[in-house]
Amino acid sequence: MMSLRKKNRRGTLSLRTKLTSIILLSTIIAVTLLSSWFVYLRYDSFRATASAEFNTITRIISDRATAALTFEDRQSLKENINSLALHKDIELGCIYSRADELLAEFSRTPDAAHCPPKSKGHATGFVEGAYMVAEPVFLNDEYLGRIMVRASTQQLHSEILTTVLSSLILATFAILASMLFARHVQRTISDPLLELESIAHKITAHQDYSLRANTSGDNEIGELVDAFNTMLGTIARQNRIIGEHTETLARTVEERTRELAATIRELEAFSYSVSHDLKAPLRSIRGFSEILVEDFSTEMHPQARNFLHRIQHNSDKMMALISSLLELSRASRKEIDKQTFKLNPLIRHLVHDLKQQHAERKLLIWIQEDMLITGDEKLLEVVYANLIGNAFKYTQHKDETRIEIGVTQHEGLPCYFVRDNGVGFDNKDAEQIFLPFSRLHSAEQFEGSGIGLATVARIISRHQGVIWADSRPNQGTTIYFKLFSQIPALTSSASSSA
Amino acid sequence: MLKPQLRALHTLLLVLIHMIMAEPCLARSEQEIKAAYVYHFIKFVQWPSGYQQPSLNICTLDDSTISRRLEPLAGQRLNNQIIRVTPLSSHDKDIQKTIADCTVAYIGRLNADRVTTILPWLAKQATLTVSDIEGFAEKGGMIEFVKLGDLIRFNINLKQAKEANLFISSKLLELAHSVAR
Repeated sequence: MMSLRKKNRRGTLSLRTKLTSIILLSTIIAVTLLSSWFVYLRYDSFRATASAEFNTITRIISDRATAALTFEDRQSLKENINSLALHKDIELGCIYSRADELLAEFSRTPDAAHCPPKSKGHATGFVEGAYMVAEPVFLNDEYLGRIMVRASTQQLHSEILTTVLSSLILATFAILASMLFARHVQRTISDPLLELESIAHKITAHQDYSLRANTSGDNEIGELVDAFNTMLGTIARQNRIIGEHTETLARTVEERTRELAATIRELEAFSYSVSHDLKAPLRSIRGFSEILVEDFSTEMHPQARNFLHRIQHNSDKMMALISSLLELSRASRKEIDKQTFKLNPLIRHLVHDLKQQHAERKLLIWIQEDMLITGDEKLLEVVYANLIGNAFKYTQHKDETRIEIGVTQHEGLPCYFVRDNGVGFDNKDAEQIFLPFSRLHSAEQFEGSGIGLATVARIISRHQGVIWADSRPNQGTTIYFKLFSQIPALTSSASSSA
Repeated sequence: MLKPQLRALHTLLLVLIHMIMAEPCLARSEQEIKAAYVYHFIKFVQWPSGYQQPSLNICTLDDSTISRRLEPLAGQRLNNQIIRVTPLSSHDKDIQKTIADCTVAYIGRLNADRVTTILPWLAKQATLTVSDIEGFAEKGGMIEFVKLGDLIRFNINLKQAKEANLFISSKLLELAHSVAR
């Protein structure tokens, strides 16, 4: 806010200064050019006037002197040349004979200036501080002599100086006037723009699109302000529409989520209760068929006994299925009690049980040491029980079973894996295996409910984790998972201990 | 034999002394100046428009000195006219007729007593009359030379000039010692 205002202030100065200086600069250039031209013209005209004036005076004297020069009447020439005293700028007047002999002289200040003894070498024109006329005198094309007149240009210079001074004063006035004008004009341009700027800043700061700039005039700036206001109106309208839409959307999403959650809860409750309720009748079927075998097996036909065994076997399968379903249900419902713990004791325990069940098999099991994990211990035990169980299951036809359990690094997070050298599968089915009741192998080949990996995937997903498989037929399978809820720091300790 | 020789020598000396004493600044003689003045007068005088002569005829009446001084001007052009110098004598038979053809007539000093006789010959003629006879202007002449100390000046009878339809420039009048109007 503070910086915005500062910026705004700086912008204000800059825009105003720019406008003012543009107007001022053009005025100064124009005034300077004009007054220079004016002074030059005046100077030129002063000189032209002065030279014309002195030339004329000289010509008059010259014309009047023709007879006197003809008769070389010095007295008359003296009277003639003395009439130059009437023009106060004329300092010197000289009349020379045909033989260039000085015949008459007029000098305003007798001490200062005197006629040169000969007129030869002097020409008409401006000389240092004076204007000199040196004209030959003719009478009907007959050369009679020469007249020289010297006039001081002091008066001329003072007139030129006056012109320069007055044009300077005029120029100063013009510049002052244009400065005032520039201030006024730039205000008409900059004020609306600055108002627009400040309103834009206010809107940015307060998100208040109801603010409007004052319209000013019927010019382009007025149009700009109108366009700005129209734009604000459009933004405000669209904001309202977006707001309404967002609200509706949020409400809809919330509703749907609530409905969905309720449905899921209902479904879970239903599946749990169904599974749970199925257990009791099944247990009684299993129980009574067992009693039948134990108490009446001797009286029974071997065929009937065989059927009873099959009833028992199928009841067991169903019981296992129900247990799996209940486990899946629990995996979905159980509250996650997150803590960091060592994986090794848990894994060792699971492996130990399985080894006892498969004592006849040749097993090579490698477990990485000092593995740590953060999550719900009970649920992660279910994960490992399923993964290691599967590893045992799908390697049962191998001569030598190799299982590796460990942790590696994947994109900055610990990535846990369970690897076997079992039957494997085609990688294109890798995603399918985590869906409930999906099986890649027949029940005759490998027993199973098809719920185990679905349960595992559910638990991993509840830990904000991902799980994936990497497998090739007859080359073995590796299941990887990583938990995003895990603190990465634990990784380094896990890997360093490994 | 010696006497006239001495007189002549005396006269020569006197003339020399006179020349040296009287006109120390003027390199030219009085007659020379007068001849030049006659020539200059022509420049400041306008003859009537009907008076068109192919030549500008300057006549001298009984004054060979002036005539000799003017002789070099003959053949020159002035105001688009060729100058002719005509020395005349009052004893000529048809002098009254010949003098009427003169543009300018210089009346020699010898005619001092006969001015009033001669001038009527030129009446109704546009002839500028000049002379160094004393009182020439008063007696009906137009320009009369006068001597003021060392300077040679002139008087003008403007009235007489006007009667002869001659126009004398004011510039010349300005230089005149006196002007009779």
